[in-house]
Parts: sequence; structure tokens; C-alpha cells
Amino acid sequence: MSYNKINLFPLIIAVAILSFVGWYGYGKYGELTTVQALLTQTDETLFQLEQERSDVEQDYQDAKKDFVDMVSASEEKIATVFPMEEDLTSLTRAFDDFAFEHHYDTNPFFISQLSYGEVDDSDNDVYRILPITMTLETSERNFDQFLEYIETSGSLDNGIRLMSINAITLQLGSDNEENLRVQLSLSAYLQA
Amino acid sequence: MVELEKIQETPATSDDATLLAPTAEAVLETPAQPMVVDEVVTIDAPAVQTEAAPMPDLFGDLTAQTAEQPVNSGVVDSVMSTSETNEPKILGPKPKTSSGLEVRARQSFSLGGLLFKLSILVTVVTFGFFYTQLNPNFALLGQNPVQKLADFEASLQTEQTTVNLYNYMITKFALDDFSVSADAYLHKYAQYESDYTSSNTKAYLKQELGTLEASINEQLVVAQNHLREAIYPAELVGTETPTSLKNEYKALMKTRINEEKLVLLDLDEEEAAVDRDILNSVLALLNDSSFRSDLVAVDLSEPLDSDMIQLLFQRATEVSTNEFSTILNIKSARVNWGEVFGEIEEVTKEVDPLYGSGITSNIEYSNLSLNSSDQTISLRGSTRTDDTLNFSLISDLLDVFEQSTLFSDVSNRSFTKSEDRDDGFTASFTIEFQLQYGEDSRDSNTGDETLDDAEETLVSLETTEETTDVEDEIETDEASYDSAVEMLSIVETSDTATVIIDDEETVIAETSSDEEIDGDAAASLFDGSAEIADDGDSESDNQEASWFGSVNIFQIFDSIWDPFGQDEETTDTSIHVPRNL
Repeated sequence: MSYNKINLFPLIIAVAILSFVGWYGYGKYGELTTVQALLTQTDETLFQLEQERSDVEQDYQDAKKDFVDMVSASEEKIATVFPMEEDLTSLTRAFDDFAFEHHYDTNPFFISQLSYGEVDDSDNDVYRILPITMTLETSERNFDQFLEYIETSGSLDNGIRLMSINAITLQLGSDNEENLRVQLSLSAYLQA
Repeated sequence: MVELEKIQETPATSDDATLLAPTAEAVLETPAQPMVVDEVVTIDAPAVQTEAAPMPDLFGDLTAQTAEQPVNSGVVDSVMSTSETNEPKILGPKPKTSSGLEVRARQSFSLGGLLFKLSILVTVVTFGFFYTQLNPNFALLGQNPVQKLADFEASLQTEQTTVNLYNYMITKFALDDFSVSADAYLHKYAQYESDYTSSNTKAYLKQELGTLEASINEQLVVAQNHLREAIYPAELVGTETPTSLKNEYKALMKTRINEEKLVLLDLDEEEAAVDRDILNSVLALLNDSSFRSDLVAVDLSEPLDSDMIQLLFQRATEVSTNEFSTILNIKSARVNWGEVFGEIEEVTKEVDPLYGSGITSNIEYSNLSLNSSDQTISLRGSTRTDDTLNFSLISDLLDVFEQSTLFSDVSNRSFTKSEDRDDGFTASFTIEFQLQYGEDSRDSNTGDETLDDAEETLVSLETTEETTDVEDEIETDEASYDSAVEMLSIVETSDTATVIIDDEETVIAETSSDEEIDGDAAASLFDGSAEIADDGDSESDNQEASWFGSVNIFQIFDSIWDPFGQDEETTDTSIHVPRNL
């Protein structure tokens, strides 16, 4: 009996070690199998991604080409509606053109006074402001149209320089006098 | 004592001592029985005899010699013999020492030891194998699977991030295209909606709007498709949650964008500046998840309305760092003065229904000042009544201004009145108020008498589906307006529009639903001061929906010709009555 006990001890140790190694090996084998499976999957995904990248890169090149064309086409329009310089002559001509198109004896739009202030850098560094004051003798209808003209300014589609109305002083005529006398304070905007 | 003497007489040789050493040591371990040593010496060293003993025959019969050997000690017998159990034992029980165990284990260790050694070997091999295969830092045998996987995953992330970046940049380009189209669309739409736009122009604009809508739809589809692309490989969903993957790949994109920007920062070329702007826009788009989800959620199978296009345009320019965003910011800060004028007219009409009707009204404005910097409006004018309730009329006017959602803080602190025998009573006023942003509790105060009175005088429009008749009735109040128009009714039968003034029925047009009203015929309904609009000509085109003093029956006519909104070709004829100021 004493002999048997002594001989079982290394056996038990060996079995314990082998069991642990088996458990460890099984776990690690599973891990290795998972890694191998992931490797295969990732390889396939990578292959697909490379193809997708190739396709989307081509799309990007095409889109960027169109974008550059669009930007260059828009640059001129943007420079018109939102110029870098104050460009007073163009602005004056624009006002004059509007007056020319809308001024009639029975439906007047007459700019009697137009003056520009000094360009003022606004608080932000995105744009600058050119102050404008203007006095008009206009019919109510034409004044409405001028308000629309200013309100829709800044669109690339119409090419009207970006402006806004700061203040309006409007003197209404008497019963027999339909025309309005309007003093306007406007702002034209420039790129910073 | 005899044995001790024998020992002293027979000195052992060195070889004997060596041979005897273990036995002697074992004996020495039991000092209580020193006699054992003598016996052992005697047995193990038979050649070393005393002089009296005969020389052993080394080459003779061993058995005989053994038989002849005299046994001169019982102690030896007791040690050597195992059969005589009755003899008293000198050594006692077998010592249980570790060395003794080893001696016995060695004899039966074959299986256990082998297994033990085998297990050690297997352990070393197993650990070694998996170490080489799974340790990310082991590179002695080349790349192991874990290292390969790490490389693949890194490549995967790089490729996916690149694809994501391309997708977002394409989205940004699509949004820029959309912005250009939307800008044109909104401008054309404003023109289309304008009361000053002729029907011919409107027809052209409608075509343009349709084309732009198609472009906008196409650009938004491109943007949606690229935004809908998953930013992480779907195969990784099992290993990580979608949220963590999304965050991970978003972070990777941001890192890549910043790296690209750093590279571009060193370049002074114009193209580098464009690329930097693109990357900034992509970064803004990446950070604005709300806009992305809203954009993806837009149902493009349905036609987009102008409000949706405007909203998307605004959101798109917010993420773009270009001139469009700056222009739009400036545009959004502008005050819509046309709307302000319209509201002033509407509010005044609530108190004085004849205001702007072409007939002398109680309220007249003489001066109007609007300032966008402090958002204040100053309105000067006068009231003229036959009774002495001028101040009440001004108070009513103040109340309706206050109740308007566009105006607040309305005040007039000075009242003056004068009497004229011909013109009745006149009171001047200067009303000051501010443009209102947000809600004002005073806006909801609509239950006072002033409004009730005003409601009675409002134009009512009744449409009955059975007869498709439309009646527009203006009711005036009190004797001061007895001389004014009492009723304006426009009745439309199936193909005929009829305007009735003072119960005198005058047919101004007989037309089918797709014909326009004859403006000259309409003009005959009014006195000589009325002007008739015909939108075809630039100067005589006085079609107008003005904010001061116009009767805009354009909508009424529109309802007549197209009561169910089927005819989108609106009739652009309206009647302008001179401002009553």
C-alpha cells in the first residue's frame, strides 16, 4: 500500500500538468483558429475594400473635377456679388440701371442723391461693409420692387451685389401726390 | 568488548573502508548499537582476518568454504537471518527516511516518471508553439498569424478611412452643387412668387424651377447615397458593437483629416488652399451628425418644396467653409422690410377698413422711419373723424400694433386734437415700436372690442362649392362711410366673372377658366382715379399688391378662375387704387 501511494504522486502531477496543458492548448487553439478565421475574413474584406476604394477614388476624381470647374465658373459670379474690392463704379452703374429700367413719368424711380462711406471692417474677419446712403423719389410700386431688388441681392443667379437695408425714412405725399420720398441707408458687402 | 578488540586488530584497507563506508555510516546513525559495525566488518572483509584464521580458498568450492566458516557471533545471525523472527532485533524497524523512499520509488517509477517527463515536454512544446503563433511581439520566425492580423486590420482601417474620406468629400461636392442650384432655385422662386412678375415670366420661371428641382434632387441623391455608406466594415460588427465601430472610424477619419491638413499647411499653392477648405468642410460635415441624419431622411421620391430646399440650403452652407456660407449669413441677418410694410398695412386695416381702399380713410400716415440697427420703427400720421373719438382710434391702432407678432413695445405718449368745421376732428400721432423677435404675451390679447369691431368690417370671402360662386363683401361701418362703397361682390358662375358695385351688376369679363380678365373692363368699375394693371407692358404694368393703399383683388380673381387650384397659370391682373394718403 505504501508503494502505490508514492508512485501515484508523479502520475497525478503529470496528469494535472497534462490536463492544464490540454486546457491551455485547447483555449489557445481556439484563439489561433479564430485568428486564422479573422485573417481570412479580413483578407477578403481588405480585397473588397481595395476594389471599393478604387471605385470611389475614381468617383472622387470626377466629382472634384466638376467641383473645380464649378468653383472656377462661380468665382466670377461670386466676385460680382461678393467682391474683394469696393468697386464703386459697378455698384453705381447697377443702381443707375435699376433706375433706368423702372423710371417712368407715371411710375417714377429717381435717385436724387447717392453717396458712399468708407469701407468699414466688421467685427468679424469674414466680410467688410461699404455704407451707402441714397435719396429716392419713387412710386410706391417701384419702391416695392427696389426692396425686392435689395432683398434678393447676393444670389449668384441674378449677379446683384450683396446688399442690405439698414434704415428707411419714408415721407408720404399728400392725397394728390402718389410718390414717396425715401431716404435709404444701405450696406454693400465685401470679402475680408 | 571481544568484538571491539577484533576491530582494533584488523585495520581495514582503504578499499575496504570505501566499500564499508555506506554501511558504516548507516550503523553510525544508530549509536545505541555499535556492535553492528563489527559484524559488518567481519562479513564484508573476509580477507582481512586475524593471524589465527586460515587463509580463504578463493578458487575452491565456495559452498564448502562457507560451510567451513565458523559462526562465531549470534549478532550477525540476527542481522542476516530473516527466518528467526523470535530473535531479538538489534536494528529495530526500518528507518523511514527520504533516502529510503527514493530507493524504493526508484524501483516502481517507470510510468509516473515517464508521464511526468512527457507532460513537461508537452507543456514546453505547447507553450512554445502558441507563444510563437499568438505573441504579437515574437518575430523570430517571421510574422505569426496575430501579427499578420494586426497588419491586415491596420490596412483595413486605412483603406476604410480612405473610402470614408472619399465618400464624405464627394458628399461635400454634391452639397456644394446643391447650394448653387438651391441659390438659383430660391431666387427664381422668389421671382415666381413676386406680385410684380408677369405671367409670361412666371411660365418661364416655372420651367426653370422644374429643371432646378431635378438638379437638386439628383445632387441630393448623390449626397444621400454617399452618406448612407457604412463608415466601418460590416464584417467587424460581430467583434465590436456598431456604435463603438462608428466612433472608432469617425475618430480615424478626424485623425486622417488633421494629418492631411498638416501636410497641406506646408504648401502654399492655391490648390492646397482649396483642398484645405474641402477638408474643413468634410470635418464640419462629420461633426454635424444632425444635418447628416436629416439629409439622409429627406424623402426624395416626393417633390421638394421651397421651404425644405431653403432649410437644406441653409444647413448645407453651414457646414461649407466657402463664400456661400458668408453670403447666406449676411442674407439671414437682413430684415425683410417688405414684410414689415405689409404688416403695417394689415394692422392698420384692422382698425380702419377703408385704409388703402382708395376711399378717404380715418388714418393717414405721413412719415415712416425704420432702423435695422436698433430694430425701431417710427410712424407719424393723423386721424380724422366726424366725431371726437380720435384718441380712441389712435389707442385702437396702438393695441393692434401691439398684438401683432411682428411688433412690440408700441407707444405713443402725446395726443393732440384739433377741430375743423369742414374736415371734422383731427389728431396727430407718433407711434414708436420695435421689431419683435420671439414671443410676446401681449400678442395673444385678441379678445377686446377693437378686434371684434374690426372683424365685422373685414372682407369676407365665401365660396360655395355647389354654385362655385365667390362673394367678396366689404362691410363698412357707421354713417361716416355712408358715401363710400358699401359692397363689392364678385360673383362667378361657371364661365363668367361678375363684379357688383352698389347693387349695379356689371359684367367685366366673360371668359373661360383659362382666359385672363380684361383689365380695361375691370377698370370701368372704378372712377377715373383707378388705374388698371396689365402686366404685359412695363410702364402700364401696374399690377400691384402694395403695402400702402391698394386693393388687391388679384387673389379673388384667382379664386374665380381657378377655384380648385387646378390652373397654376395665375392671372396677373389686379386693380390699383391710389394710396389714400
